Amino acid sequence: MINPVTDLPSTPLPRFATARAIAQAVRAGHRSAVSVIQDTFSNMRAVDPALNCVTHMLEQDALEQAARIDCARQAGAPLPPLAGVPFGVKDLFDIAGHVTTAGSKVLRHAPCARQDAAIVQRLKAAGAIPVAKLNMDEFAYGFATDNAHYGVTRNPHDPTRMAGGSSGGSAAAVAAGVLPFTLGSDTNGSIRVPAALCGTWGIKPTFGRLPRDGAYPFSASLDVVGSFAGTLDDLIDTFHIMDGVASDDAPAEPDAASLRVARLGGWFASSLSPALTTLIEQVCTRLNVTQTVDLPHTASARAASFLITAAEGGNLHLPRLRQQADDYDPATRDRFLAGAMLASSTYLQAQRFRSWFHARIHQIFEQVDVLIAPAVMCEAPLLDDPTILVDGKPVAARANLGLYTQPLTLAGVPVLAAPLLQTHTLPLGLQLVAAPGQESALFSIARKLEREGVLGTMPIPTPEYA
Amino acid sequence: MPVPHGTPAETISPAEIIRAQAAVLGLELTDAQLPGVLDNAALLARYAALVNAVPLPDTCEPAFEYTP
Repeated sequence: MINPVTDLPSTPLPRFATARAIAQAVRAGHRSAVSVIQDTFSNMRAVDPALNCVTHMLEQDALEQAARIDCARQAGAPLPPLAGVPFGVKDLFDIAGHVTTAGSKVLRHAPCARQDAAIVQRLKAAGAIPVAKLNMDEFAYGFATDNAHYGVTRNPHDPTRMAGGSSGGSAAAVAAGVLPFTLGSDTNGSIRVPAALCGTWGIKPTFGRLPRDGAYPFSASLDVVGSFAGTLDDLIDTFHIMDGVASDDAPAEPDAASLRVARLGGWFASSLSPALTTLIEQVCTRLNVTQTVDLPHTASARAASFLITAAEGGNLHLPRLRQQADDYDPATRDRFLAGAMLASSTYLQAQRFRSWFHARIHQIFEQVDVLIAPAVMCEAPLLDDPTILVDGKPVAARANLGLYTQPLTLAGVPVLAAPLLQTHTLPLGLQLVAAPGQESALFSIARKLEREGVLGTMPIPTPEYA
Repeated sequence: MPVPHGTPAETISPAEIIRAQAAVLGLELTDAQLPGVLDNAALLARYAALVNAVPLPDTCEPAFEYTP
C-alpha cells in the first residue's frame, strides 16, 4: 500500500497526513521540513475560508524553524522525534513574539508574549512547528466557538453545523485534515465537546499533570491543557512529549484485558440519541462490561463546576469589566459580570462540595480502572437551530453540550475523548475516564477498541469547500 | 435610583438588587447589559441551590490546592 506522505515525495503533502508519517518522511529525507510547512499553509488557505479555524498564521516563524531543521539534517545531525511536524494552538497559548488574544479584542493591544507556552516549548524542542493560532470562544467561555470578534468555526463534516467549543478551531483543523495535531484547553469540556462533534481524538489530562505556564487562564481551579489528533498514535506520542517524557521512556500501557471497565449510568445514560445508545452498548459488549456505576449527586457536581468557573472567571476579568465591559463579546461579558457578583459563600460551598466529590470518585476507582461515558448526547447541532434534546425537551445547545463533561471536570480525572466509528450519521464521541495519573489505562483501552474497529476517525464526506 | 432605606425586601426588583451588587464591586451596569446579567445570575442561583442541597460535614474543607 502506498503511503502518499513518504512514498510520493514529489507530490504536495496530502491532507490527513499523520504526525508519524510526516516525521518519518522528513527524517528519511523524502520531504524537506520547509516543503511540509509550505504545503500545510497551502492546505490551510484552501480549506479555512469555509471553516474559519484559523485566527493567526505564523508563517514566517514556521518557515524559519523548518529551514533550521533542514539544515540540521543536511549537516547529519540527529533529528528529534517530531522534526518538521506542523501543529496549531488554541489562541490562548503564548507564542513568543505574538499577542495572545484568548479570542478577544480586549487583549489585542497587550504586549507580545516573551516566550512560548511551556507545552509549546516541549513540542518545539521535539521538532514540531507551530503554524497557526486557532479560533475559540472568547476567553474559552462557551461550547460553540461562536466568536463575536473572529466569527464562528464550522464543522468539517457538515459546515452547516457547530464544531463545538471552546477549542473548536483546534478540533476542526484536525478533523479537516489540515493539521495532524493541535493544542486546546479544557475547563468544563472544551476539548471533549469539540472532539466529539468533529470526530477527532482528544485528551484532557489529569488536572495539574501538564504545565499551564503560558496558557491564558480562565478558571484556575479547573483549567487543563491538552490536545487533539487525527490518530490515536499521534495523540499518545504528542501527549508523552508534552508530559516531558522521551518516547523510549514512556510508561508501559497495562494489558487491556487486565483492566476493570464499567459504564457510567444514571445521569450519563439519560438524553442519549438512539445511535449513541446503540454504539455504547456495542462498546460495552466488546469490553465485556457488566457493571454500571452511578456518580453521586452528579447534577450538583455539574453545578459546582459551573459556579467555580463563573466565580473565578468573573474575578479574573473584574478590573477590565470595570473599564471596558462593552469590548467583550456580549454573551461572555454578561456571564463574567454575573460570575463576579456570585456570593463568596456559594463559591466556597462549591469548593467544599468538590472535596466531598473527590473522595467519592476515589472510592469508585478502588473498584474499577476505566469508566465509559458519552461525551455529547447527539451529533453536532445545526448552526441555525442550535438546540439539543435533554430529557426530551429542546434546550439551548450552547448551555447544555457540557452535560456529561462538566461533572467529570470537577474531579480533575484524566479523560480521553474517543471518536466512534459506524455512527451512520455525523461524529459521536465517548469519554474514557480513569483515576488521576492513569492516562496509560485510557490509551490501552482505546487501542484495543481501535484495533477492533469500534473507535477511529471517520473520513469526512467529499467536501465542497476544498 | 437608590432604594430608600426601609423598603420591604420583597418589593425590591431583581434589577435593583443586581445593580446594588454591581455597585459594591465598582461596576456600573448599563441597560444593555442588565437583561443578560440577570439571566446569568438567575442561572447561577439555580446551580447554587443544587450545590447547597447537598449536606456536607463541617470537616469538609474547600478544595484549595486541589490534587486529583
